[in-house]
Amino acid sequence: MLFKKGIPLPYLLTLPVVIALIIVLFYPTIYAVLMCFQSTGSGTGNPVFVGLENFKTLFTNKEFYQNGLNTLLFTIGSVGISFLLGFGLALLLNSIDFGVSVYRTVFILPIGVTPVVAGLTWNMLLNPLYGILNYFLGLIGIQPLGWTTDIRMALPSVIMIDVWQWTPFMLLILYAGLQMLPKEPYEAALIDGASSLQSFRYVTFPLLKPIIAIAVVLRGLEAFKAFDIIYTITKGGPGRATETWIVRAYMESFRFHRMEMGAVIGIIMLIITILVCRRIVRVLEK
Amino acid sequence: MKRMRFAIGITLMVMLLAATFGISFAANVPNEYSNQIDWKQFSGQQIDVLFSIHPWEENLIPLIPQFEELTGIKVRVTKLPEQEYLTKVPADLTAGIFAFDVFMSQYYDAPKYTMEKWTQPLDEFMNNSKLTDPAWYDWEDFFAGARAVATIGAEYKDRIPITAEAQVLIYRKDILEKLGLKVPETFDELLATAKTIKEKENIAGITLRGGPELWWPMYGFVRSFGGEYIDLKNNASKINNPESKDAVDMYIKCLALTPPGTTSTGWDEINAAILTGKAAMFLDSSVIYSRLEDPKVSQVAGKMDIAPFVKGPAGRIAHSHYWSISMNPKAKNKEAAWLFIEWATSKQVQLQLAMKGVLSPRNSIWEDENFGKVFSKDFIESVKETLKTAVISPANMRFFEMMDILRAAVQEAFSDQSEPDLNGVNEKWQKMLDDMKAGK
Repeated sequence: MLFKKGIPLPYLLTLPVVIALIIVLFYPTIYAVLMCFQSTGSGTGNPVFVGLENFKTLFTNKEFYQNGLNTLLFTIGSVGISFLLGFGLALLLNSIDFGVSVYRTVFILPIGVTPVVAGLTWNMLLNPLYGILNYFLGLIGIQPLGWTTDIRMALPSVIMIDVWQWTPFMLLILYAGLQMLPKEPYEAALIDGASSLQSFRYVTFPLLKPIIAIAVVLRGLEAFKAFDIIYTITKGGPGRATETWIVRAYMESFRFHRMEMGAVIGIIMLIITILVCRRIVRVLEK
Repeated sequence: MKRMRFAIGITLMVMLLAATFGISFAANVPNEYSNQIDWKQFSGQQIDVLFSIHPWEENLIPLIPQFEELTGIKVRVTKLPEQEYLTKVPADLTAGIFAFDVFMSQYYDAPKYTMEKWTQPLDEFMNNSKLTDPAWYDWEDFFAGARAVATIGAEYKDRIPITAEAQVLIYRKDILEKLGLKVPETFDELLATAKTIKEKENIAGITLRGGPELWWPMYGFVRSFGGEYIDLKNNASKINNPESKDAVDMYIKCLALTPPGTTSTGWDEINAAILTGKAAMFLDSSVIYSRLEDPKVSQVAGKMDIAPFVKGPAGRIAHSHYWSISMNPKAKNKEAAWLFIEWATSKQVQLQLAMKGVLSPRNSIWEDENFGKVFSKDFIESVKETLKTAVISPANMRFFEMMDILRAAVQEAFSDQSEPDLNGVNEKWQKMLDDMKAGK
């Protein structure tokens, strides 16, 4: 029957995937968008349409901007430092011949650790009372530091841990990129008498640019929505020092029973992500 | 003949003893279930219960066969770790797929749960003489705070308390003796004692929660100073009135005498601090008590003592907490579910649980002489004294969100060594209260 009416076989065959996508992707997204314009103030059973009220509440809240600044600092800090470290290590690995496989394995280990486990482990290492890091600092005469409990040190500390976890990711991509580069341009540069610094500046860097862009974009997306490490270590505190948008969205949805506010933050983050990605893709295409 | 005389002698002696100790026998919880209701009336039915992993549940489960024998009702139990439990239950209720008849509940969520109609009103069962024998069940036997928990979300009872805990003062008697200090009875004495200990001994004076749940112990401070968080009746925020401010100041001053890293400390951390001897005093939930003398977890066993919560200008008003159980309004066998709730919260069962160390929200259990054999006299007296005047927090629909605002302000003030911005907190709270009233 169906075939006679003219539904082509390819469409029929992709139907299961389409249905799955509708269930797990389109439906929740549309539901979240609708939720942004509703209030559950009188019960989740009877949500009320409130127009842009939720957005107004959010934009007039000082904390929203503070959380935004934290998100920005975390993303830039984590991506920037892990890029520099990852790139440096990739260049080092690329320039040695002996024991590469050993170093590669060792450097990549942190990425294999589940972020929640990494968070809990670091939490123990950095504990101001029992932490081993403060113990070693004490041996050389440095007072114990409140790594994650001091309001000024908490954000740098979580950035440090995120860098520890994700530098291997940068290393992996950039190292693969370096390995793929053709040998000929280097030989030409060598004949022209370029120093190693010059050959890096004028040969390696331009050739590697697309790879760098991909690594930074992927890493940036991850850092922008990084939740596990921040939540397991500081839960957004002390004060609001490490509260990023995603942590706030979680708190709103699952701690404060305000699904609509969580949805609003989520949608804003989605829009920012789409805009930034489009911009970067355009730059790459040029 | 000789044997006869012996038997009479024994009988007389027993009667004499019974007469002498008649009063103390009377204070005992009777061990029979009421015969005024027909426990077997729903025999053959089945109920599903969901528990969060907790000492109450661990000790209740072995008693469930007693209930099954008494009523002929079959009980199926499922349990989850607390964090998972607190996420799953509201999520399933929101989605309308929550399939259990009876479940454990925390009173902070009560306003939300009653508004969403996620909990069954229980008055109709409690007032039904076919289901409940009021003289035997004795609702008035629950502590006042515990009875308040039952109706905090609405005008009706939607939950029955199952445990009781309150803030008490736990202290190192060896250190206080060594320094010649007396046990603090007021907040000023507490602060002075903690300061002296910190100066003279290489140990923190006190341990207090400074992390996400700092609002919990702080409520005892605020109320004892005569302040309040929220006036629920008048829908008014009270956090910036002078008494509340003084109490928050006192809390921050005490935080300065805690071990380092206080902005992240929660229940587990303050337990660790006192049990490993890193702090000399502890002003939090009485639940810790059973751990103090347990050499497996305590390095300070034998050195600890307990006193009632300290007094402020408005008296001794500690914060208390009660876990409770509720019924799902979609339960299939509601009467059977009620019999289970009634049984689990009865004096008889509560006493059996109390003997295992689970503190009861019922006054009569604390008076029972068998219970007196399990816990030290000091402990029972201190907790009972505290529970008499203890209060519960003014939970409302957006309670956790409001507490988070207070938490951030206190942590910021503590970190910057500045005054907490309680006027700012007050402004935000009042706006939220107004929004809630308007149904936003």
